Amino acid sequence: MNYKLFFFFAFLFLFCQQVASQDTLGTSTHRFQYACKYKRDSLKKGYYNDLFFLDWGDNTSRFYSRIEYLKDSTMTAMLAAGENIAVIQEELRVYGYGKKYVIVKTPEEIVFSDRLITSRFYYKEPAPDFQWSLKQDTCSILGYPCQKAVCQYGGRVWTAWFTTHIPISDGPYKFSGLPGLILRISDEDQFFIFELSGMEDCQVPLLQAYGHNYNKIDKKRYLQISYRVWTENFDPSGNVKSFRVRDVQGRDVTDVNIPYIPIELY
Amino acid sequence: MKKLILLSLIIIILPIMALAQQEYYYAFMTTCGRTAWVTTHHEMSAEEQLMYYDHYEHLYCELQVFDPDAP
Repeated sequence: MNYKLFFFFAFLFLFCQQVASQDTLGTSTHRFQYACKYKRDSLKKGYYNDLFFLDWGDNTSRFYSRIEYLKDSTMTAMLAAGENIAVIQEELRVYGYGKKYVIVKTPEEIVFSDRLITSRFYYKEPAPDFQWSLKQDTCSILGYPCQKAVCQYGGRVWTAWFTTHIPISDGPYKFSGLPGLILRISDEDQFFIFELSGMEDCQVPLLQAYGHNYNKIDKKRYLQISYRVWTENFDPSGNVKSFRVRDVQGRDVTDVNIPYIPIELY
Repeated sequence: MKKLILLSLIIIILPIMALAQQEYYYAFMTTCGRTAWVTTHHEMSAEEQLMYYDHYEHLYCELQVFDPDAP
């Protein structure tokens, strides 16, 4: 019982610290939860899964992985409690993998941050004009009547389903600009699929996407580094002197190609 | 005097050089049997080690849930 209490207070303390170390942009009024399915290899069947929160309030939103948020909070609390690395590792493995990126949207700009292994980066870009093309097709998602819209973004063609019954011009990832909330969006290759899986009224601080330990970078450079991290075993921290990977038989597989599909090509 | 300066320099430089030469070895064993062997210039914190492990586990292991209807 005491152990649980300690974790609770450690959690609370660290949460307050996190709030204090990052700029607060406002307070949310709604939280939308999106299930995300994505591929890393176009030749393989099946998807990786993630779960994202879109916290929205006063024309500002924050999009981040729920899995990564829980993992990060657990890791920080357990490290503060002096737990053994192997124990923490086992605890974190249960959550699976969550994407590290955070996207903060305001009417003027998008702030994107990501952690590539241990290196933290962020970039800003003006709010994109998606030039949505509205279609007549309709469907129902979670009981909401939806209309189809298509746009091109980041080198992919995206199909969105939005509802005017939730008059919030926002959606998963960087997408927004429709006359209602985007409930489902996918690219034409079906490599990335975001679909609303729940919503609630929720008042939480809308934190900036980056903190003091993030490095500013331009988008083009970020995409280059990110691609190398996921395909070439590149470590942007510069701390690694040598690196090898061996498989279960002990064979060196360092140079074996790792498939990766970026959500944005440029 | 020159000898004294030289001696001082050696006393200062040698530990720095030794520190620069120092290497730390880490093995990150993933659940699918692949092991990443990493040599670094500095000792990693527990947080850094967990971040590396998380990355390699995702990079090398098939943690995906298969969807039979997937294209």
